Amino acid sequence: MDQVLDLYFDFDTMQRFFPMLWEGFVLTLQMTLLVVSIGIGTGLLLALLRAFGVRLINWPMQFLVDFLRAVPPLVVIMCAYFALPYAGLSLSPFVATVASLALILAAFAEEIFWSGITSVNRGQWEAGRATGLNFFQTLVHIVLPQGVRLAVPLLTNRTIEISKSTSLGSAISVSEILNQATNAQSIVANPSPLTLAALMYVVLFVPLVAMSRWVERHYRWQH
Amino acid sequence: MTPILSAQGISRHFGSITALSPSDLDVAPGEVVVLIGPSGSGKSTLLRCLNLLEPPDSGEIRFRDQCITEQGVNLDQVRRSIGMVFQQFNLYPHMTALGNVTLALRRVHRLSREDARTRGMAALEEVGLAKQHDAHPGNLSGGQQQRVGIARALALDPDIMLFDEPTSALDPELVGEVLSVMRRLRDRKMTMVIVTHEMGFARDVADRVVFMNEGAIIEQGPPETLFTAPTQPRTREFLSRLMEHR
Amino acid sequence: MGSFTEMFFNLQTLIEYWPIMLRGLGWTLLLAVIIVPMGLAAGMLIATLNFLRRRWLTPFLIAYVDFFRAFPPLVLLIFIYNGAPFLGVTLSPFTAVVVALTLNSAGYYGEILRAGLASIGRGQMEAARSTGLSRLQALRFIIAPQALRNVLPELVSNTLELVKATSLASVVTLPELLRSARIVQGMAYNPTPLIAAALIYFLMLWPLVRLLSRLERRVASR
Ligand SMILES: Nc1ncnc2c1ncn2[C@@H]1O[C@H](COP(=O)(O)OP(=O)(O)OP(=O)(O)O)[C@@H](O)[C@H]1O
Ligand SMILES: [Mg+2]
Repeated sequence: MDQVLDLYFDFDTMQRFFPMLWEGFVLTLQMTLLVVSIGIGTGLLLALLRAFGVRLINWPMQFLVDFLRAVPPLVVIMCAYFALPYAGLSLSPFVATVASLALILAAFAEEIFWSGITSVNRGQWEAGRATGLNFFQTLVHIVLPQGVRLAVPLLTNRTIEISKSTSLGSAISVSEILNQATNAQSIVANPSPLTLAALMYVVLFVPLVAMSRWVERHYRWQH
Repeated sequence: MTPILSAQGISRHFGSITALSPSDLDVAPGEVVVLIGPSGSGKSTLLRCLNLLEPPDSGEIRFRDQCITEQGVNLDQVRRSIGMVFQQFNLYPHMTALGNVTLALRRVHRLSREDARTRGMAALEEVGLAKQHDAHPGNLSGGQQQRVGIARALALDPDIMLFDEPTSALDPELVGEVLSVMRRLRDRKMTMVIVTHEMGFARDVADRVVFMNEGAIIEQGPPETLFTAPTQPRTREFLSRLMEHR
Repeated sequence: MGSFTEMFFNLQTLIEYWPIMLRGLGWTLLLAVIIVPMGLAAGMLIATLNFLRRRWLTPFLIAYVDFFRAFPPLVLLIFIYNGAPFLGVTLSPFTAVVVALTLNSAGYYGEILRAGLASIGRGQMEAARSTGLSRLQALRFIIAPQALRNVLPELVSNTLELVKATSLASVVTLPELLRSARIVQGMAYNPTPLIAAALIYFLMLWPLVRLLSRLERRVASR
């Protein structure tokens, strides 16, 4: 047992590689923030666009959303990084990862916002229109706030899942936490950097998960 | 007197169902019209056609000298002057009572925050809920919620108010408070079209009672005549069945 | 346009290399067919224990689930695959993937099923017990069927994500669909295999995505 501890929690090794992994941590944090803000923002805009009910827009959008929900994120990232250059668009590993994940989150968020919007009672639309608000005002002031509120628990969960996927960037050598850790591990032939990486992920995401539990409890609709 | 609201030959279909066959309805300023009739007879449909929440398939509606069924009419503008109160209240659950009442004042009438607040509080005062202005609908009783619903319509200073079974979703002991607010509106000479099953109330407040059946207006007249001496067999049948249930 | 199709939908490449791609798809399906039932079974076990044993297990279950919700599956996989040899055990990529994804999904399935069981009112259990059913029977015939109905969207969603997660196996050199596509891409010098892999995933999982949307909408409109 002690041996195992020595092996996986080799403090000297951890200390030695901490700066390297810390760089990875910062990068992971940056990616996460970018993915979340771009993804949710785009998803919300798409859901609003969908509310106007223009078939010529909605059908292709639905198709794209379905596609991004069905295809594994790693496949999307690989396509963005390895296939797009053939079309003359070369993305850096960082951009390819962030763009892919933001797109995927946007797709999920659009679906979630949309089902929130559609599950708002029809009477809310009628009450808004009956007091003279137009379609867009009713959507923005009455329906959307309620729809978003319904969407929040699902959205936080999905956001966490996709933020964790920033680790996929390591597969195309983005130097985020995981990639830095495997590099370090191969240098010293010791698994402690991996342990350190695991700890960093826990530090980064456990608060988010705890927050999502809180959100789930508090955003339940009180009627 | 020239009617403030006049519907001529309006009808409405849902697929193969005729919810409303061509009907006429005039409402004079200050008049209280009560619509009665069995379930599914088209009362709600007629009412909702009046502010074009359901656009009628045919016919014409004039409101204050303007034909509002024409193409290109700004319905949002028209609806500001036609208040509506719903059976299920349809309050906005994410806003306080005052927020519910002032939303359209701010966004449609473009009042400043303070002006909207003043008018909103006045409307809440009128339904006896000024104290509860900060409460969310979830924390109000059914009767209070419906009074907020009335205040929301009232705050826009409408020329006419439409009520679709405003008390049907309420527990019996809460019906009274809503009806008494409506009585006060009548005393203020508010023009109202009311769908209700509260026959005692109808008899009290109505200037005219309209009986509907299977999408058509069968008979209408002052409550004294319609309730005591209906001329149409179907009206008699409906009223006698109501009496049995008492 | 012609050259575009040649690049991205190069039929010749597909014809030449389809056996590799097909074998890749085979691996992907095999992984899914093994991991989904294992994760589901482990999840059921957790939820059932939790339900029958006066719920003292709940905090442990929640801790387990939250840990895996915070922990990227790829990190877990690498940790297991790269870390095990230091203990003197060498895991095949296949074993490592199965272990990692089962551990990960057991928690998710367990939490979903736990929430489902908790959503059924006490009255159901009382009614069932009053007719002489045992706790287990009540669970099996009365509670579980209703609970499953309530959490069907979450179960479908989790299964979808799990099947997608098998693509992580490519990182530890298991030649499933994605890795096969990358291998073929290296041989053919065009991106067609990657596009083809994406399309195969899409065609395979689209029905599940559609189903999920409809289930979610049904729940939302309740
Ligand atoms: N949106 C709709 N779609 C389809 N049919 C409808 C719709 N609204 C009303 N109907 C039908 O039109 C007919 C008249 O309905 P309406 O709601 O106007 O009746 P009502 O007199 O208000 O009845 P109640 O007293 O039950 O409220 C009914 O047969 C009803 O089923
Ligand atoms: Mg009705």
